[in-house]
Amino acid sequence: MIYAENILICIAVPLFVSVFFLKKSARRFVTAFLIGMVICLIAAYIGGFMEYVSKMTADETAVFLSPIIEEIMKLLPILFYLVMFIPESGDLMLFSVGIGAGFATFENCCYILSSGAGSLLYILIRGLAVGVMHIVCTLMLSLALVLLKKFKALSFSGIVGALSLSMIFHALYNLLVSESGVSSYIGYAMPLLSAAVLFIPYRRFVKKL
Amino acid sequence: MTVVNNVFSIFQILVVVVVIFLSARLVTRGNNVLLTVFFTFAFVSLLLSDLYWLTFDTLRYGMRMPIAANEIGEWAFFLLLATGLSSLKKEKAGASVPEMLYVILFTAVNTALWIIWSGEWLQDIMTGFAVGVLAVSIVRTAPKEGIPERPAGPVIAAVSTLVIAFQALSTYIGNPLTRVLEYVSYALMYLVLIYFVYMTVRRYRENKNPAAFTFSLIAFVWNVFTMYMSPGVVYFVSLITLTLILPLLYLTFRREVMKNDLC
Repeated sequence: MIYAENILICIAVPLFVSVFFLKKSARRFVTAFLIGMVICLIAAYIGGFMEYVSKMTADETAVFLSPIIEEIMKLLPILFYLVMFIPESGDLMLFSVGIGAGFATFENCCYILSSGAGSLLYILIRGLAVGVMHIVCTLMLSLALVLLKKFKALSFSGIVGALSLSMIFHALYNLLVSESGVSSYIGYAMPLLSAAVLFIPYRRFVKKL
Repeated sequence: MTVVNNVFSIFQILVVVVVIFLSARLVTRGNNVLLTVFFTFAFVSLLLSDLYWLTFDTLRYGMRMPIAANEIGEWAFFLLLATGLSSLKKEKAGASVPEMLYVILFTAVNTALWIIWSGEWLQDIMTGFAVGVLAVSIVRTAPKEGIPERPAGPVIAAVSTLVIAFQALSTYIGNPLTRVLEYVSYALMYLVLIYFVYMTVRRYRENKNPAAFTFSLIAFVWNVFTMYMSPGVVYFVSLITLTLILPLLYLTFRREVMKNDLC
């Protein structure tokens, strides 16, 4: 058993203090990073509760339920930021990346503490796979939201559609890595490849928005 | 049956990958960025949905699937496509209230039938909502000129009502007559599908593009309804026709987003 709340406090406090000494985009990113970590903890609480209520096994929860809960939880602060602060496109993307990075960092911290960090190779794979996967998911989500805002087409169906896209991406990753062998290698490579594919339109296209 | 299903899924994946590649290239070339990006996003969702299904069938064949995550990908496809279509509203478009009401009612009755057949309340309601949003978006953005074909509109409405009635009868009354009616309903569904595909090709050749794009979207949504209503072999036929409609959808979409391009 690990004490996730204590780990969160330990990591979050220095970051929280640093927020007061930062400005503009750096402050925005660190704040989003902190929110991402808190969101990760809340998502874990909800996931545990849903696992108990739905009587699913831990494996079924990880493969089928977690992608839905985690993506909804990541969407909420991004949507709140979008609606309440009406940010510029670049700020929204930065905030989303912060949420994804914070979420992935805290998840990795808890994973390392519960399963050990003996194998450097496995830790590298986990960092490059899960870490990048959460960032890709939030990046896709925010890219869709930025476009919807830009073209004044922000609608319930558009938001749910973008959320569903990030959910299915996350669900496919979880399914692939749930079994050992070739499928897990494909799963580990998927986020990095997707990040590389997303990087091209991000550089060429999103900067113009 | 699973092997056949997987072969069809792989075929669809190949088609979808080509469409994604081609539509992504239009993002910086076309004149409707929102539609192009969301069209591409929608096809990425469909690709992920197909890949999820294929992966699940390969890794966990015969195991319980508490939540069909591949359906989330399908919801994403319908909703993202519907969102992309919202950019077409500015053009001369619109639908009458009875048309809109009929589309909503038709989707609702279909959803009720899916729930009766599968017992999956939440997933079928979400699927019905997503398909309904797309269907309503298509009707709202359909150009007045060329769509709907006025004499055909009421006929299609009548035929689709008959299809629903026959399906409902065959669900509740199990005798040879209702069995015949069930097969008649499949025949009717495919006749309507053929009509929509024919109209898409015709309008495409005539270079009447908003109409061609709308007809291809209607053919697609009708095919989705047909697929969800069909069991066994008929389902596989619907899966093939759906895959074949995807390139048609892309071609009409391409002409729509490139129509004012003088290059």
